[in-house]
Amino acid sequence: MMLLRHLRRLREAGVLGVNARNADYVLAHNERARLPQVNCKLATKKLAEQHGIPVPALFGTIAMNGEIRRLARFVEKRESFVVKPAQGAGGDGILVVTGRVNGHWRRHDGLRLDSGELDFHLSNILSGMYSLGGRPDRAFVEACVKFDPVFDELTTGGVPDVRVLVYRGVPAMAMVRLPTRESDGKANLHKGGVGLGIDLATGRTRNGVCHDQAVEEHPDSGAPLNGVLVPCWEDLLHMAARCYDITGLGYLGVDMVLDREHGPLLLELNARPGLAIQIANGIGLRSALARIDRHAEELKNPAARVDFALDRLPRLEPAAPIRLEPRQAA
Amino acid sequence: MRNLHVFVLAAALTAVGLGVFAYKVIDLGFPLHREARAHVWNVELKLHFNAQDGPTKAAIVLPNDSGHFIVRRQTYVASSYGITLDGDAEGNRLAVFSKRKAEGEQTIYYRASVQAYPGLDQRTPGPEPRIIAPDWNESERAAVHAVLDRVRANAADTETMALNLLDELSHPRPREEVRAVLPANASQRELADIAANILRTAGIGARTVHGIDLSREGRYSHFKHWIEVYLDGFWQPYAISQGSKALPAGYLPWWRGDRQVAAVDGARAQATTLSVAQAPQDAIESAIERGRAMQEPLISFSLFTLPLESQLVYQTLLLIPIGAIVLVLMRQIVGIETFGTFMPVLIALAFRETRLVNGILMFVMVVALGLMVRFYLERLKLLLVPRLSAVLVVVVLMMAALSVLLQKVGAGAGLSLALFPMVILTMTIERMSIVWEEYGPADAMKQGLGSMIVAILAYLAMFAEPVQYLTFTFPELLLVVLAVTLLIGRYTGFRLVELWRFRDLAREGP
Repeated sequence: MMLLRHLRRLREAGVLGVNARNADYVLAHNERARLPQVNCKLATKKLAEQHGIPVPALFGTIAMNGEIRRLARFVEKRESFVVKPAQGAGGDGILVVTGRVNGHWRRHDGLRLDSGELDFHLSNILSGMYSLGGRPDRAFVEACVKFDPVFDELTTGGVPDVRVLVYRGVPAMAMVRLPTRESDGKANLHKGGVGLGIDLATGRTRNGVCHDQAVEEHPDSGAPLNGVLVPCWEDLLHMAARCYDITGLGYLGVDMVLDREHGPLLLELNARPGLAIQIANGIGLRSALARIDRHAEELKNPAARVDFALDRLPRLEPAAPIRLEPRQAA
Repeated sequence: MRNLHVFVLAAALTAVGLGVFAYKVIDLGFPLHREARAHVWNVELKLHFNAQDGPTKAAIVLPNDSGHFIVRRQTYVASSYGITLDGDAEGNRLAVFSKRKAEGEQTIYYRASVQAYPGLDQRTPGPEPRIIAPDWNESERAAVHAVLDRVRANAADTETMALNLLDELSHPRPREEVRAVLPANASQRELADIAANILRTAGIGARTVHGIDLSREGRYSHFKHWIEVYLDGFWQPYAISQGSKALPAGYLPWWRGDRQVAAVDGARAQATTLSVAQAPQDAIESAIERGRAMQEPLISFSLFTLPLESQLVYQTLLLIPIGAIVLVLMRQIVGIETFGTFMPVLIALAFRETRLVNGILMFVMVVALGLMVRFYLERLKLLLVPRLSAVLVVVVLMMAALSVLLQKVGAGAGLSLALFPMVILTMTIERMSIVWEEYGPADAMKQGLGSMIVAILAYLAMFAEPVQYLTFTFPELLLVVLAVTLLIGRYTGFRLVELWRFRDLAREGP
């Protein structure tokens, strides 16, 4: 009985489950032939550049074990860079290098990394350790984003990003994803990152979610998560909305970062974005998706779709008051 | 639209599956349990005579399939006689044994198995008979018509008329007009002949039937006699008795009409002996035999026609869909995570040989040892494929070592270890170690435990005795399994684990 009441409440809250997401949205709106362009990050990058969507600069691509030594040339003059598998999923296999220490590299968490370890990581990527189905993969090296200081206090190592869920071209829900010590510098929620709901209309963050549980403070720094204003909010929404036009995918997760110098950059696209965004926002997805379904035909261009998202989609309830009792000094 | 399509397809598959299933159970008599026993009797007819040193010809009547009886496995023992099969105008089958020169005592045996399907009709279908009215002499004719007038007066239709007549004939103190046609102390056979003749005089199709009572086991030399009346395309049997006219269920019709069971040309004394014995037999076997006798296409193309060895293979293969649907339920409805899509089903198959508890212990042992080796290999920084192969080699060696070890300890189960799917185990170890490193031991254990639970449930479902029996005997039920799988494929409700995952959102309900 408990279970049934629980079930009814979830239904009333319009929560979308994995089965419904896959059957009603992913399978229905994402044509299989269009998936390779988002499954391969290199393809996504190329596509975005063709359409004038800014992305982090590509330093080079490594396709075979024999080419691993080319890495040294790619990063010769660089202080920092990121190595990624082209077909990695869920943030697996991403290595962030933030500097040099006496002839060695320094990882995002400050640990030393010698070139042998870097080579081994690259060969693991190439042999398909991080790709779906273990197929041989390519690795690429790109610029490490110097992220906007707005999230400085909320981040321990790694790059925070903004995930916007775009349904039929309309931004339907959004969150900030913050890396934590546990998530090892990655912003992916299933690795222990923190997700912060964002009120679409204002671009202000709300309470967060960590391991599927609501949190009000950053688990590492204890900084309050509420009420942070995401800079360039409308630009981010525009970029997300345009990704629908370039990919043709109706149900799309758009991951972006805010670079200190270059502004919003597109990181990657996801054709089956996770559902924890609902917990981060404290509301179910169904009402927004249904509203978009009712009006999708009328919204002809990205600007109209962003306006719709700003004005017509469900507002988040005012964030819960920040706790006032003093935190213990760390 | 898409849902409707799936629903229609699922309904069609279910209808076909259940339809064939019902047909096999109800019409073909397939039992629902392995234990069910069929009604099978071995019947033997022995004909004994003295040949007179010359050409000898013996004809015996053979029982026919009729009503709810099927006759099969017929054999003859008649040394140096030629055998020809023949039929007669009454529809009886005859076996004719002939020999140019026979002398002295001769014995001919006829043996058959008879199966009863008590659920089926006792009636025998047949074409409209040509009725030849019998010749009565002057006094008999008057008596017969008097009897007919009486029974017709109290009858509503042919059937009640026949019943009334049988009442009159079998009365302990018959009326005068009956006595005129019925000899004093008439035998059952005479009674039956006269009843059939009187009915034919009235233009009703009727015939005498001679047969045996299967419920009386043992040896005896006389037959039972009753009549059949032609009603609406069927020959309806009636017993000749004062009380119930329904034919007892154990009465097997052997032949019809005026002849004797055996006739011998060129022989002196002759004697026939019958013996009846009930034979235990699996109901399933008799259902198949019966289907073959009826040339039933469902049987001619069934798994039972395969050689026994292949049957055993299919007995296992047909269980895989059962494991698959358990997997689908656990993943889509409950939401348990597993390593590899079908890994739990394959592990469940391996459990069949090892038995459950041993299987779990061995599985845990191999995976745990394999993980330790895998963690060590991680430090060597090997490339992916060589690393996987190295783990595979280690897994094979470990399995061999464990088998030997368990054998030494005296646990015979160690031998069945070889049936674990090595490659699957290797992939499980690899994926578990990756999850372990990337998401921590808790996630790895959680998924490992999930796989284990699904494997155990799949094992319990697949190797439950009724499931094993039903899938092999009624493979069409797998169409129903397919239908359910399709329906779950369009299930868009919550998974059970999501009730927990989204608990915060449920709390904020109105």
